[in-house]
Amino acid sequence: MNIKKTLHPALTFLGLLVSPLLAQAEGLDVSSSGFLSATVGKMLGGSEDGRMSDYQCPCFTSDYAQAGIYEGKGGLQWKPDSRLGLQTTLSLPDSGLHLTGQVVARGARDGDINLEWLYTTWRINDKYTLQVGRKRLPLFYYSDTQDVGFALPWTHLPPQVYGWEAVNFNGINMLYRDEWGDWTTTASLYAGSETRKESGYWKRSYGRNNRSDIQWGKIRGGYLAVARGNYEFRYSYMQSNSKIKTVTAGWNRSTSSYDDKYIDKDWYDYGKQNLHGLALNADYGPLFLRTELLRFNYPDIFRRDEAYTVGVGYRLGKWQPMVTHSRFRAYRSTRPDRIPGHSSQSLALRYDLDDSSAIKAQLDRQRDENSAAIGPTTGDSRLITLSYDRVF
Amino acid sequence: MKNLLLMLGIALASAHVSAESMVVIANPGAGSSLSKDQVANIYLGKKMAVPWGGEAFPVDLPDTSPLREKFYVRLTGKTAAETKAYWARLIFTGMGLPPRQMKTDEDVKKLVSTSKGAIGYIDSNSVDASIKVVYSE
Repeated sequence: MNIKKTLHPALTFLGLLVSPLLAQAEGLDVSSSGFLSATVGKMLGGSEDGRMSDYQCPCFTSDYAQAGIYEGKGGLQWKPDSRLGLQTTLSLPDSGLHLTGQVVARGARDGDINLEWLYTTWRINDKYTLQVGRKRLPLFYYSDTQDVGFALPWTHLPPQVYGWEAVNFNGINMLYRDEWGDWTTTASLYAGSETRKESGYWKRSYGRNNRSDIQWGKIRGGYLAVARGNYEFRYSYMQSNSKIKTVTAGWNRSTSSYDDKYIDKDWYDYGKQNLHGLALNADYGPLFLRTELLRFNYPDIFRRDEAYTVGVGYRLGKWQPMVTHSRFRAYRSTRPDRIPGHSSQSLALRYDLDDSSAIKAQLDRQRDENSAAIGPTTGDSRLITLSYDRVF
Repeated sequence: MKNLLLMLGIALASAHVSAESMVVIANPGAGSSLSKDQVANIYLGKKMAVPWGGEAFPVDLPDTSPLREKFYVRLTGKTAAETKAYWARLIFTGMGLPPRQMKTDEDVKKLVSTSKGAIGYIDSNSVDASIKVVYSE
């Protein structure tokens, strides 16, 4: 554990722990909650021709943003999807004002404690809520609860849809909630920016010891979610610019070593990017359907990414089996022969132990579907994961 | 056997009395009553404000309280455990906070009597002038 890197979030964590005492002194109301996901996984097999820097393939990336990667054939691995989070909200009674902080320690980050959220909420009235600070970037249906395993039907989210550089942002968010006839409506408009030092996303390409920083500037976005009866629909849009700088040596596949030639401490500008995301969920008695579809456009580099996930589950008392298929493709008009792609199928089984904990087992099969001009990068893989998820 | 039937009768009668005696209370400054749906929506985080103005601040009795179970089943159609699981998901979306848990009827009354947006549920026998009944069955 890097002490220096951990110190600031650790103090924040300590602050959250002692906040009830402070609140008592100041007459504030305090609400604390937490979540735990203890997940262990094992690669069951796959191809060894993946080229994921110094990660040993067969390999499976379950969490792109945090470099949560299962690798190699041997041994049980607990780091990629295990995490512990604590959230505290201080409220000033009768004012509509709240301060929410969330810290998370992740196995994928060697247990370093990271400040995920810190934002103030002002409930203006019954329909409008203003939030200012650091919070989750609500790109997808499960974005807000993506760290809370108990809230998910899987041991990890489908990586084809949820695999991006940034998951949080600093800025302002206006929430709107209302009922339009029989439809329950939630909408959000937000603006801000995100700078992430030591991006987990780029470790896949540049190696586990590499530090690359990313920046999403001028983030503007929003979503509209409507639900009626057993149906729920969500449209999400986000635009920003995107930059990266490679601070330390990156992995050279030719020499199988870290190479300083990749270092570039000036921001490299990928230009503008925009995302359109659709989610459609339906419940038919015990049967439920979860779908998400997205398109990520990068007009300045003539690229677009497309991904979808379709899952069908069944509630049988405390048991909940689910099958899911997900697919990712990237197209670049300047190189139509080079199409990166991969897909995965998963079979997940959840069992609710009580009203705040569950255990899950999941089998994943991933296929590397890169075009021949690129050759394998993610490789094929088969993975089993078991998790214990709890909220408290 | 006779005694057993008598005890059963008393138990059923007391359960009936208890079930009928629950009321939802608010600050004496509350300018209106609440409908069943309004109460349910506030306790499920779907409604954030009270009709008389201000942020809704629902309070719960402890997990072990029989009144709590009755309240949720009758008002929201969910058991207290189902509601807890529902909130466990909602808390981490930043969309709201679950009802604050108090220990006794007296604690609920004390908080409700001093907070404009607070609402709670108590046994009707505990009603006094410090609070106002805004919903009763």
